[in-house]
Amino acid sequence: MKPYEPVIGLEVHAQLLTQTKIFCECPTAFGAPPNNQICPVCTGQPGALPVLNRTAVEYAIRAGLALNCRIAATSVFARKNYFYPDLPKGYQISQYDRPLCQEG
Amino acid sequence: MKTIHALAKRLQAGEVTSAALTEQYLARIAELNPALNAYLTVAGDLAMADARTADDRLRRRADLTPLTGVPIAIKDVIVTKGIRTTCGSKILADYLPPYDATVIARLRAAGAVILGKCNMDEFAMGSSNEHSAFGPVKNPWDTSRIPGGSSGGPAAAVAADCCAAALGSDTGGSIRQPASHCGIVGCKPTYGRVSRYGLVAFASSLDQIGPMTKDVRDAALLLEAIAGFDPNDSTALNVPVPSYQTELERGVRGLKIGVPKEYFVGGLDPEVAACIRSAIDTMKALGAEVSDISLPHTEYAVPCYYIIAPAEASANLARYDGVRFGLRAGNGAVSLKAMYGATRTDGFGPEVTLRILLGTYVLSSGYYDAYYRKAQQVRTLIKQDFLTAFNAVDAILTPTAPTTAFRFGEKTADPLQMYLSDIYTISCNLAGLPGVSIPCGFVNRLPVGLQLIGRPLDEATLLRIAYAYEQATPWHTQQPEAGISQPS
Ligand SMILES: [Zn+2]
Repeated sequence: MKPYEPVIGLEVHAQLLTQTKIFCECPTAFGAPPNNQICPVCTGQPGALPVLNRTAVEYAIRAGLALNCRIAATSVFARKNYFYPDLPKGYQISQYDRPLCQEG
Repeated sequence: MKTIHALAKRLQAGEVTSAALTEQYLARIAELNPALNAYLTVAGDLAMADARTADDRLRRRADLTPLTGVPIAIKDVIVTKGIRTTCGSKILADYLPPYDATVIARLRAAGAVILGKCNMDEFAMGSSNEHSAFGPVKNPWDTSRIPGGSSGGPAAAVAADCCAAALGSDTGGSIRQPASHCGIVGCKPTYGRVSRYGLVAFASSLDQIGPMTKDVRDAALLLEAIAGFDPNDSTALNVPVPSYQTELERGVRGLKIGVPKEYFVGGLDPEVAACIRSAIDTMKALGAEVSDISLPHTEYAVPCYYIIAPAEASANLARYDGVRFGLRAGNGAVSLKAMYGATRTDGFGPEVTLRILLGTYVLSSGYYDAYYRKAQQVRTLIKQDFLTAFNAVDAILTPTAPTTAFRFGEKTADPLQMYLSDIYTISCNLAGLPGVSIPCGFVNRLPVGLQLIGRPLDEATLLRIAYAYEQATPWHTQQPEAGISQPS
């Protein structure tokens, strides 16, 4: 049997304890009635634009520092394109080749 | 001429009410729109309500602006709360936006009256308005000809005096080229000068909202009203907006204007070229120093644009999937995928479909580096050409379009021929620079436009040069006999 080298990647999802969503001003309170914490931005209405939540970036940097990452002075968001009914814009705003934290 | 500044004077002197003015415009639209197809939605009741509010403000003389009570038209790519916004597409034929774009909020705050929404090429993709899902707009100067695109509706509405002025959007020339073909003034501001919040995205790194007006003073005051920082658009620049109007009358003496040799080659109609040459002589006579310059990467602008713009469009148009708003086709479809397919096949026209396919291809794995990344590198070279040129000149003067307005059907068979009608306007968007088109003559009774391109954020110098030229020439005072012009 050939010797295999295990390479393990972990995809960890965490909900940040921010007051508002990552790209709009909508609150993130748990248990609110349906369709009360939505706006043109997070429902992907034509013409709406995202504005990045400062606290989310701060929390990401804290996580990066805790994991001994290099924190990028310049970081870029990229669109991950696919169709799905829970994906209002038809793409995720994600990070690809220039993430905030790497090499941890 | 019913310019914003002329109407503002009459409104503020109490010579006319906004309600009376708005009624006149609504009547004129009712009379001319069946022939021109410039408006897709006329917001009559809402406009009259806006007018009565403005009249109240005028009576109280409270917080008046040059736009208070003045009827304005909006390209149907800018969202308006409670007024249908279609983007010229079947997929948004019944879409009622839940919010106002930032520019609309600013117009409303200034007291403007919004008459309605103007026709356009679907999702702003086109140069002739023949790609609207609701039929083409006719050029008021000759109804057998295209008005230009994609802001053909607002251009025709302004030219035919179916509004005092309009807002358009420009991704590769969509304000300037129709302004040129309809004999009006069109200004594409610097990327980031005007908020894009509420402008339905075509190509986010190129799109910009700007004024389409009857003269340069109106362009200055309308730009002043909509420009400036907006926290809802992260690309809106947080820099002061100058008083464009007060800069206008400083003249051109001593200003240096460059004429790029690459813009006067094959494809440029000789009679259009003659108009531009004559305009250059006028600029010299007014005291400007005109010199020849070179923008060596010009020939790559059109191919570069037709990679970048469709790439961005393919992502921006993914949200029209039939799930939350807009058209949903394929009811009873056997799967989610079938519903998506039916909705998008039924909802998008052929040009939009073509560009989504093109954009998806150039972004796909394996082709990204060969096409998209390469195009971004070329884009940097094109921008560098301009920044180098601006070391020696204050502004660049070119034709706006290679020909006057062409006939319907003339270029629909070959997309590449159509794309070349934006050959002089596209570089400006790729480089993020401001550009203005102003009337500079007629060829066979069809308007010709002159383009001025400026340094980043230097709309003031462009408008100042444009104003000096306009004051020295009669072109902007000429108006079409709309609706009764005979096909030539
Ligand atoms: Zn939201």
